[in-house]
Amino acid sequence: MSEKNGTSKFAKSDEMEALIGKYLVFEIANQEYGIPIASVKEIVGIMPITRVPKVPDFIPGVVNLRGKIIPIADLGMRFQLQTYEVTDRTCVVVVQLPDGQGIFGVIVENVPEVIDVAVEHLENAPDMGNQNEMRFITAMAKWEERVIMLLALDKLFDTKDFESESGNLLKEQDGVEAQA
Amino acid sequence: MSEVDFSSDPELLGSFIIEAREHVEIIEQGLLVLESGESDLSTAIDTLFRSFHTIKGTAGFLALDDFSILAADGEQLLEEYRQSGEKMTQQHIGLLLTACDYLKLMVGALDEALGKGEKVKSFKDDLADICKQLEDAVGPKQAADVPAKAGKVFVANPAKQRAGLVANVDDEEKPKEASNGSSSNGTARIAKPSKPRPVANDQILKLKDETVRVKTRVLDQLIDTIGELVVAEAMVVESQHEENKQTVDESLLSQLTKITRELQEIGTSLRMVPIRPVFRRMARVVRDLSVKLGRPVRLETEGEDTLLDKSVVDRIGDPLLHMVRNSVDHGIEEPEERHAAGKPIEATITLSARHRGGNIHIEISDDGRGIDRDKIRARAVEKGIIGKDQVLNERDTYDLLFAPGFSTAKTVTDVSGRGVGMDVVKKEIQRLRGVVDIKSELGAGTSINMRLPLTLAIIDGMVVRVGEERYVIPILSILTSLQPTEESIHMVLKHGKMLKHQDELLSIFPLHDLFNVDNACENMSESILVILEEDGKRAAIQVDELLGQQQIVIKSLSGGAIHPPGITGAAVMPDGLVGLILDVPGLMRLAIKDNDIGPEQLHSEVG
Repeated sequence: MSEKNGTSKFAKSDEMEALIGKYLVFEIANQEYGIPIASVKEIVGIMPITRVPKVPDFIPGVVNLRGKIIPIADLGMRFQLQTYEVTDRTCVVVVQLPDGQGIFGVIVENVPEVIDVAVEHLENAPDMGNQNEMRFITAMAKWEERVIMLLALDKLFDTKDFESESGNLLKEQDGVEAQA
Repeated sequence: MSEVDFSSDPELLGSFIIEAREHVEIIEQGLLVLESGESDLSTAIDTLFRSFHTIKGTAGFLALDDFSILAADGEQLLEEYRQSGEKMTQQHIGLLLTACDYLKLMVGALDEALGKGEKVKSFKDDLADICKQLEDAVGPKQAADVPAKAGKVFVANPAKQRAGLVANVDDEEKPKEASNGSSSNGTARIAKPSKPRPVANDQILKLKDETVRVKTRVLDQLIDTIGELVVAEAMVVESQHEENKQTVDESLLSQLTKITRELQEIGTSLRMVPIRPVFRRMARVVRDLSVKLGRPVRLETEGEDTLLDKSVVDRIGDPLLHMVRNSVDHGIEEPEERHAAGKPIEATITLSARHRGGNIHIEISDDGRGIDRDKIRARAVEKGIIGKDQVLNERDTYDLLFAPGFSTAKTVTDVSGRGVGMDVVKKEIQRLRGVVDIKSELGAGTSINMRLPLTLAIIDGMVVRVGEERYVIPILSILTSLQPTEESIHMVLKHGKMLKHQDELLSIFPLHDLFNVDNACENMSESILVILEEDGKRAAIQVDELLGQQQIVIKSLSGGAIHPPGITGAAVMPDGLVGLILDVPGLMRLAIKDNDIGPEQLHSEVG
């Protein structure tokens, strides 16, 4: 971390500027993630999910959010970690995607909190071998001894991206379980 | 001074824009009615006059000089006819239509400028010409009443003649507007003996029905909320039958049910609007084209009051426009050709809309030359779309017209044939979940039939169960459903199990295989086969059980974030959970895995 000279590792300051602000932080598969608070529409309790066939396996299905049908995302599966477990702390964070990509409900494992990320908290996402999953991370925030991954929503739900994946999924779809 | 500053009162300007649009529509329609001669003159002119007058007044108040000057000129010409009680000349109708076009253009520019918060550009220079012509048209009449008595009909180019009477005629007359009326009059635009048709005037008046403007977004919210209420109501009624629950008075409950139903019906009807405005647009298009091409054409409309969903009305305009253009440009023959063929010189195009079943049928037919199937064939062979010896039936041949880039028109005109073809029409219709059919007889005419759903929002659905999942099948796609007997199932090489149904062998597709549903009934004779028909193709879908028929409010899957093949949308079921609606064409493609359709195309068509 480059706190000593007061700058972060970001080359461009405007890029960094764009990342500061309030984030909603939640837990998925024992890791904390943050999304810009501006993209959060609301947080609701988990509700019954209707399975949708022929979609990527990180989309367990859709729910009825007061008359609107919204797809649910299981980010644990998106990151190829593990699927969610329903506890009494499980919530759905309803996010509005940029550029009219639609609305998604993200299943999270705890009741989220809001943090205020400043420049000094930010750090580049680690350049790890596993590029595939790291592309969803725009940066990391070090916050009171915690490491929070800041998510790139547009990449997370890039339809082109997962439609090509669902092309493969047309053949093997058995992994997704039916929900009442 | 014609530059308008919006900082003053954008709301007032906003309502002026809406109002002006309505008046422009009334004016346009009124003029077309006048031209057809099928109306009580004085009432029609009065209506026109009022609209010009209102625009003039409001625009004057808002210091929109362009509008008020043009409207004042139009008003003055009308005033004259109002007093003389004469039949309006073709040329003057043409002038007023041009004025109307300018008003339309200016409203559009004003709207745009308002949206961007910019100043609107002045149309002063553009308007000089038309204003001059309008003033000229009025001028001599006021001076002396001679022309009125001398000739009811048309001077070759009265504007030009009269122009001489007025000082300061700097630029030469543009014959464009002036010839609007006269060229077609020359041929055969004979005014029919005006049969009184009170209908036409009623139509004008109907536009003025009292209304409240509501934002579409608010309307949709209301409809969504009603939907939630319906679900909540169903849950309350359901809970009544459960034990150990506090019960509600039966009569109160039935009242709640009744009100909820009523509210639901109102909610549905809110989005339904008559197709009339779309047909009116076409009337204008036909009129302008007929003048331009010198082919007298009469447009007849039927079923203007047919109601359909606003979203359908909004999107049907462009494909219809394209077909109407095609019809006038390619379908209708030249007057001499018609005469030689023993047809009336004035061609007729009929636009009709009617409800049939759960659909709306929109048909555009003409009495033109019809489609030459041999020509289509030759063209398709030439373009390499079909082989030389390929046999095509009538329907397949017409289908070729919808192939991208296919055109048999000998010349590219500036009316149609600009590369946007029937393929675009077909795509748009398909997007509206509709189908297009062409029927044509060489020498006698062509008719194009579009079958569209009444609304994109509601369908009659059959709810089926597969394993623990529920799906909704649109009733319209269901031919029949049956419990198969052992004897009706046949094993066919390479096709697997097939159903013999009325001397026809149908492929059987278990839904649980297509959608990978767990715990479904594998035993064919214990399950139900739903026979689906789409686009002439039939197939049997195997499900576990039919749960019942129901009206379904279609909802999209979150603004198109996911497009699973074979699913067209979702619905909130009475228990509050989501049910998925099957997309039958998509499902058939998924099932048959048609060789013609690659995975990419599949995605784009499903999405």
